[in-house]
Amino acid sequence: MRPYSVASVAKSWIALLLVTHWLIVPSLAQNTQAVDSRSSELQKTFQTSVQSIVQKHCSKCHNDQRTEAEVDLTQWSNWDHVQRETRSIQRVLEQFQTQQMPPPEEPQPTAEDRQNAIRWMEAWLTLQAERYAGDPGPVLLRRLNNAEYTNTIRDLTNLTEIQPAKEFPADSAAGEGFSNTGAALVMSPSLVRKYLDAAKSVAQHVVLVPDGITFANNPSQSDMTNSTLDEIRRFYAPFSDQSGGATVNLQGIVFETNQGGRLPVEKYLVASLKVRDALKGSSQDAAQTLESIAHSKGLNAKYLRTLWAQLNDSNSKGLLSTIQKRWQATSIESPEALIAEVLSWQKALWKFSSVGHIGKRDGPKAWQEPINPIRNQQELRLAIPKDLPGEDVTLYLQVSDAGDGSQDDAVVIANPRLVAPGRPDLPLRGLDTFVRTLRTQQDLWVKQTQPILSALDAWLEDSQGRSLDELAAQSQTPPALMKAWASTLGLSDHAGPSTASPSNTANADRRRLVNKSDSMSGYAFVTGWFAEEALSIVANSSDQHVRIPGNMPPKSIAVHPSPSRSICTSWIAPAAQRIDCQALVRHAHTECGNGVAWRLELRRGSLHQVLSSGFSAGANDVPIGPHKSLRVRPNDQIVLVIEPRDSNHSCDLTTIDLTITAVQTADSPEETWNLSQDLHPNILAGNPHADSKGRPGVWEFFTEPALGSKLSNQSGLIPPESLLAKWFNEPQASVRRDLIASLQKRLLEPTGAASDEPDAILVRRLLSASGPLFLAAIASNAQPNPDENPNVNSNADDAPSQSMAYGWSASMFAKSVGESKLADNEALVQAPEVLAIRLPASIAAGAELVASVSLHPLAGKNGSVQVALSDRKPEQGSAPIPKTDVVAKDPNWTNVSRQLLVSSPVLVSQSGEAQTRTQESFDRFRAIFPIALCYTKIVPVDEVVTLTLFFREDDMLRNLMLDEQQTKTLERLWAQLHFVSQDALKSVDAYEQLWQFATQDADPSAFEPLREPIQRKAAEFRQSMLDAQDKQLESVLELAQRAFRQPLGQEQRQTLIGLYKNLRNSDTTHEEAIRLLVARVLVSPEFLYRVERPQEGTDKPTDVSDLELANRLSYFLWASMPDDTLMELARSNKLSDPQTLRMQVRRMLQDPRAQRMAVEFGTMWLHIRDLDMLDEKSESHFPEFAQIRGDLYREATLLFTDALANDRSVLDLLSGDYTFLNGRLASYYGIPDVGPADALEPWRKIDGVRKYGRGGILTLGATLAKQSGASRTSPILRGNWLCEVVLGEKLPKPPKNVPVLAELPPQGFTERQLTELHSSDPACSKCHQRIDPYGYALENYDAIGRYRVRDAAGNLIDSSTQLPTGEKIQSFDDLRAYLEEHRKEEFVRQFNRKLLGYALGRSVQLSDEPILKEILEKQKASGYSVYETLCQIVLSKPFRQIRGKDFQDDALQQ
Amino acid sequence: MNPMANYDAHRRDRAALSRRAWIRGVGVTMALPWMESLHVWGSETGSAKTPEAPVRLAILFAGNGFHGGEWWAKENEGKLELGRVLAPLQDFSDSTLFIKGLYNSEALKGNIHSSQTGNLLSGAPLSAGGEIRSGTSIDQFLAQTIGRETKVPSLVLGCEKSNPSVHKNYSMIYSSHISWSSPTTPTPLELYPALAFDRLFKDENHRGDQSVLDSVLEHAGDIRRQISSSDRQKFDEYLDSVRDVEQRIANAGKRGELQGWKPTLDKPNIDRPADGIPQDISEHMRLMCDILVLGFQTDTTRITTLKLNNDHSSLRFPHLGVDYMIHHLLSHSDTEDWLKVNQFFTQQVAYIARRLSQIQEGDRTALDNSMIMLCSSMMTGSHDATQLPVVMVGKGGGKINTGKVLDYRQNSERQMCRLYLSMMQKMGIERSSFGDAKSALPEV
Repeated sequence: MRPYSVASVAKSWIALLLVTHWLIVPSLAQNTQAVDSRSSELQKTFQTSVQSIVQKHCSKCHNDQRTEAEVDLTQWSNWDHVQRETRSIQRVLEQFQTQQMPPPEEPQPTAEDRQNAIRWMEAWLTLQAERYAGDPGPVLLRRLNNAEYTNTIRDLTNLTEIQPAKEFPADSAAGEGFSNTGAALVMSPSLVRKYLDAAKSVAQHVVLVPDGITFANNPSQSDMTNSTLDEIRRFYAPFSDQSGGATVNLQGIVFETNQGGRLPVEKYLVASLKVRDALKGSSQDAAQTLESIAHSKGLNAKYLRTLWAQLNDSNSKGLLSTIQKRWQATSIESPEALIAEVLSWQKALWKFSSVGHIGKRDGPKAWQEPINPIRNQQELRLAIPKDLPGEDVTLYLQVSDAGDGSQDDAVVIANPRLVAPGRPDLPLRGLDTFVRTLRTQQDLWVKQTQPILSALDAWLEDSQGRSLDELAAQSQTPPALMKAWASTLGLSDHAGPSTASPSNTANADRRRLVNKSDSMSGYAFVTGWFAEEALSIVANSSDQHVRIPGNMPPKSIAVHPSPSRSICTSWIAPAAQRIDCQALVRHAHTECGNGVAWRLELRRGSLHQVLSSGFSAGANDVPIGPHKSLRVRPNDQIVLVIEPRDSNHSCDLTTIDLTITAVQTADSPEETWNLSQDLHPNILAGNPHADSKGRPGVWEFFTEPALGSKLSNQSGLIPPESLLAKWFNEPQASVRRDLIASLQKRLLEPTGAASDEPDAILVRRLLSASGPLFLAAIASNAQPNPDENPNVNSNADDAPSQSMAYGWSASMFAKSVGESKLADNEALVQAPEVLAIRLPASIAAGAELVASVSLHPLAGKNGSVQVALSDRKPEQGSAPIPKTDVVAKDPNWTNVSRQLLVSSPVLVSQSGEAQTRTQESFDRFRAIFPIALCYTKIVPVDEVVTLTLFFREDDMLRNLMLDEQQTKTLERLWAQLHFVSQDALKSVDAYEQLWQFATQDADPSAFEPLREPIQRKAAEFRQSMLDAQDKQLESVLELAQRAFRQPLGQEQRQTLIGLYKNLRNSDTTHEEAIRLLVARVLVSPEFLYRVERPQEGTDKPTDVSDLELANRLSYFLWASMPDDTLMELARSNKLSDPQTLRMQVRRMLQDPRAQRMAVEFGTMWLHIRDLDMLDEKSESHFPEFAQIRGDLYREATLLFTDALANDRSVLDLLSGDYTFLNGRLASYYGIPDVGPADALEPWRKIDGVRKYGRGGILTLGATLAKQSGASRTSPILRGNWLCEVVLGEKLPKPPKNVPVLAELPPQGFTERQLTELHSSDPACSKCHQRIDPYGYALENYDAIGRYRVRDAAGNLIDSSTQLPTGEKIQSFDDLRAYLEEHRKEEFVRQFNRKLLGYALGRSVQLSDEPILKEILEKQKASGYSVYETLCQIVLSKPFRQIRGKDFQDDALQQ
Repeated sequence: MNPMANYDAHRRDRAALSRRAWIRGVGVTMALPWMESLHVWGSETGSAKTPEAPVRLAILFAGNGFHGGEWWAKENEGKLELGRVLAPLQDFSDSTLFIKGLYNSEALKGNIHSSQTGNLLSGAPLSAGGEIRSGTSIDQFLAQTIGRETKVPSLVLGCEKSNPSVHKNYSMIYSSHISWSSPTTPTPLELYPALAFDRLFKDENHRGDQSVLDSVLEHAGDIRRQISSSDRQKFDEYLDSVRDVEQRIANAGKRGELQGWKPTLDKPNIDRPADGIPQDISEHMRLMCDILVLGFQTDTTRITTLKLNNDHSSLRFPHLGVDYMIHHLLSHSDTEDWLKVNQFFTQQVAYIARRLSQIQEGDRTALDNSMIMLCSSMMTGSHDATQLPVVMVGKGGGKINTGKVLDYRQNSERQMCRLYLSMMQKMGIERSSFGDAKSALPEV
């Protein structure tokens, strides 16, 4: 393989030319006179000697007839002509220097003639270079190349990943070998088509926003909406706290109140304490201290300042004054109490609502709303446990001054009393007397049990028409006691059998079922009675088992409760009888639900005796009873109650049955009633319903409120198995007598108080406050005596003692204040006060202490207090903090009414000024202590159905924390969110849908208040979209100005606007027109080309405008458009100032965009552009190359990027002892300690790599691999590359007919031996001697850049060689040393030349030589600074100037 | 009836109406410079000529020459006998014309490789240094004269990315482009099969595109006035291209058919190729050949150049088992592997010939109506361009006497451009000169 073989040439002409410049040109001074005189001297020399040499040796072939190689040297007879023959002089000089001409077969000039000719030509060219020095040269109009186009679009749009030129044809290179040269940047219709398509695809990324247009990687509405949402949330995040919010449950949806938007009040309180302590005893400036502490804690300074001011406000009033005092007393070590107090007040004064309900009728107005726990009146209630340990219990009533002093704090406690079900209320006033009376009397009355029960026993057998009073008189027992016992047994005062209608029993909420249903689930044979919410009783009259959907066997009865009510089926005794009863319950929805609760009761009068109870779930029958030998009287009832279990009534259909058997007696035969038999044929016949014998009113179906867990309280006084129950049902009189005696005995000696044995329970109940004895005591007017109370126990500081009286002293009541006298049951208390209330456990247990509290209308008119009841003694000086709780009333999705429950409210008088005062105090607190700063969720998730797509609530954040600029940013983001999401328009549709939806099963009018705002907002939005259209159009014009990289002329403006209007007139939407307009901008010549306008009317070079200079600079250093800074400098004409230019070069090199220059210049120069995609390596030989090529490329670009950004020496590129590696590449190179072998990141600069054979461009894997074959190295390619590309030598052209090697190379040859074989041809060897040695010295690197000591066949690598200059070297280290010592300047010159060519976008020409020389001088002085090199180029005339418009071709134009 | 149908039709009418009004209103009617002298689409002068299928021209280029010993053909008892490089064409030897001895004298000047390809189809001198200058190539000359009778004047396809460097003072733009639409404008190659397919068949009548391009042209004159005269040439390249696209959009769907002749296919019978460039070179070439055939068969274009690789190519051929050396280095050895690679290239020509021979167009096949030329920039890998390898398949509408060898080695007038003049004749263009040729080859 011999690409080249030609006669050797000593040195390239260019190199010589540069050297001769040094010799001949002493100064670059533009001295026209001197130039002219030298010119005429050279004219003489030419005419006296050179002309004749050329005529003699050259014109034979190069004449006007036979212009060999396009050269006619007969022209050289005319001096005028010679002056314009720069190009042919260059070519002749090259031929003379390399001794290629005259051809060897022709007569040769003498050595002296040749030398003279050469010297003259060199001098002449030098003079020409000097004469035209600084010529801007022929810079052809440049289209943006693919990289520049891509970069510019990215910088213009901020679309960092977009690849608009992906399918464009590859760029070509011209000039100095870079693809930024106008001549190589062509255009064609198919490329225009591609530009248009690319522009349109870029325009698809346009997003319309309120103030113009922007670009987004994913421009879809939802992506834009989400990214804007994220942006807003990111904005909110640093101000608020992610944690610490309270959990709120709204309609079963649980969420955190803060949603991340909580004010981290603890941090600020602690910080304020810190500021306080820091300022203590120091002269530090408060403002400064606040600032620095806020900064160090990452807190918002504005809010901390506000908080500080508030905590130090000497006029602080009300609640804030309380907080202030607490703050002053708080040490920084233990701020917990202070924080807790603030947090508690926050919770008391704020509430949160579900965002989805805002705006509905009766709905909330905001997410975080103020609440005022202020009341004019307060109902105090304290439930007392059932089981109390001691004989007495003491409770406390605390009256505090609500934090604003005790003036006017006179409180009326109205009707303080004990309340318990089933008995009259017991006022605290006179309680002591009452209790003492009761105790005496009860002892007496217990002894009356036997006489009374004996009298009743006889009365039950035969009343003889006596009333209970008469009975009492006859038996000499207290009538009240007699009645109490009768009531306990369910017996009425009436003589004879009870005639009370069952529906008139104590339970007022008992309702008979009245609605008939004549079919169920499509079955006509399933009929029954029903009420609301599925409450029903149905009968299956058929022989079919059906599902309705619960199971109904043939001829069965089933019931269904409602969530809050039971369904009761009642048998009503037609006569006095003894009966057995049993029932059956079966859950009919076996697949679902949690089953039902059932009870079987005997009811007589007010007696509800639970015979048995339980749950039914699953498919099994639950048999109930039998309960045998129960004594019933007419109208007594056996009731089967079915309730939902735990208030869950889904799937609660229950089949039931009830069988009553009357025991045969002398008077009546045995008789049986069966529920299903009696009812299934004709359940609808009536309610009450007759039995099967036609006896009316035996069965009844009704409903009562479900008891649920309250059952145990009301399960009747008489346990079924107790003495009293046995006595009642016992047929034998003698046995009954004994039972009465036993009961009397038990009551006199109550034992086994805690026992569950039926009689123990019975005794407890009989003796309790709801038992007959107690009731009788009350009934007999043994009321507490209000005027007899021995102690006034207003002093709660005394420990309650046995001697202390019960209740409150009469002296506290009915006081007079001025004209106004309080009622007998009203006590007057002055805050602050804590009152003890002592109660006997026997009457307090299970009861509630209740009182109504308000301020005294006169004495308390302007006061404000807080009152609390507690079973614990409050701490001295403590004040209750209101607790608020919002509960939904009858929640459903259209009804949002909620109730605010407040405990420990602040009480004020209705008419006084305290209400306003307190509210203001709360307002001030809330203004500085919101719980939440903002609703960071934005998208409501707290409601199933909502009309709010985005909810904004951040006024607290804005007021407390944001400065003007931040507020602006936030407003802009929100405007953008609404704009891109178009939520205002979507709400209109959503509203209509919701309305339709609501009409089906709810009350749509709840949404009525939303209609108008939604429609108004939609209209406003449509208008804002229209308003924005102008801004968006304007925004495209601004984009055009940036894209064109120069101010937009009036005509350009009009053209663009005209296109927009035309598109709109031809049925194009605004959005589409905007996109097309953007596409139009991106296919404009002003965008695609770097248009420069030469000076009119001159042929002289002139400075380009500052704007053009900005473009030159940015495309040079960034391969992209100028940024705002450059454009600003250019617009104000400051850029062209040399100092400014230098500073800009410095700035731009440190910008990440400079990396693009590393690619565009660095990799192009070294011929490794796109090496990351290089597909020239044999996959069978080097399968690993595909993976590593990207790293090799990255290393090379980083080397250049670093040299630019960090101002390295140009020489470092040749031989710096460092390179850039990641773990993977280091491992590939065999360099230890860089990172794991698979680590792609980080890339680091690694020093000291020479010892691993690396450092500088010659040992980059990229260059070594590129200058190799597909499967093996090529010393020729590498050597040639080093000569031409790195050192700038000009090698002779290779021959046009190199020998073809027909045979395969001998087996076992090394790559070097192959090369030597190929280069041994005498025709080739002279040239190859100049090339190959460099390649041999690099033989220690394989074809993909790895270091090696043996080749693939195992042969040792021989890298020793003899350099063209004669030096013998052993290795690459020697070569590097040689290059550093002897070829340094050539390398730097080549770098400069390439860089200049890249900067100017054209070939370097003769007139550039003085500039290159000057650059070299400056470089030497600056230690070969890369920065200085770039500055010199940027400051040079060709870079800053353009040829005048009238410039004509001349000798310099090649 | 569907109530929407009426509405849609109404919308369409309105859109069309307003678009027409808009075009009139804008009034941009900048004539294309080459359009004035030719019979454009929709030519209404009722020609009395018998309707005949048009002649198509395909030029395939392979870089770095061919095997020195195996590029040959000879006549043997009236039959054409083919050397091993051309063996894949054996089935079409009757339709094959083997031409020896033609050369391009300008390509002998200057450097190797970088200055041997850019003028192959024009015979023009190449500029060195910073300037890029060659000559308008035969295919583009034809595209600019008769190309507008079809939807796409010409296709310029390639299978190897162009080389962005400068070699011995000549830009490698020359070695990467055989097709030049002006002396300074190498025609960009389409490397993407999908995009080439789109160029043929995608409807370019996109709403708004024309307005955009019209608008671009509106004030272009201002810029043109302000820039230097040398820049103006570059700028015109842009303006002409924009006008061309704009015109094509305006004329989309209005193209007139040749009277009485209809192509055998009116829309593509293959799917649009996948996006991107196929990894496998054989698949890449095959797709490009398919598109070339499809363009001819549908009469979407009649002129196509397909540059199979670059001169100084770095393609590898793993599918042939030739993976150890890139094409250019391989060309320096006349080995069996080199031959294998050469045959792979001629197989592409054979594939096109086979596909065209299967399309019956009246009495003749599409191959009879075509001229497929395969050529290179040098005879062998030794850079020798004193004679060029040229082979033609197809009868040029029955006007070429094939199955023969023509030898011009002894002829003093043996310019490649003479062959191009002959080709022009077959396509109905009579010219007295082209490039460095003053006459056609009478034997062709």
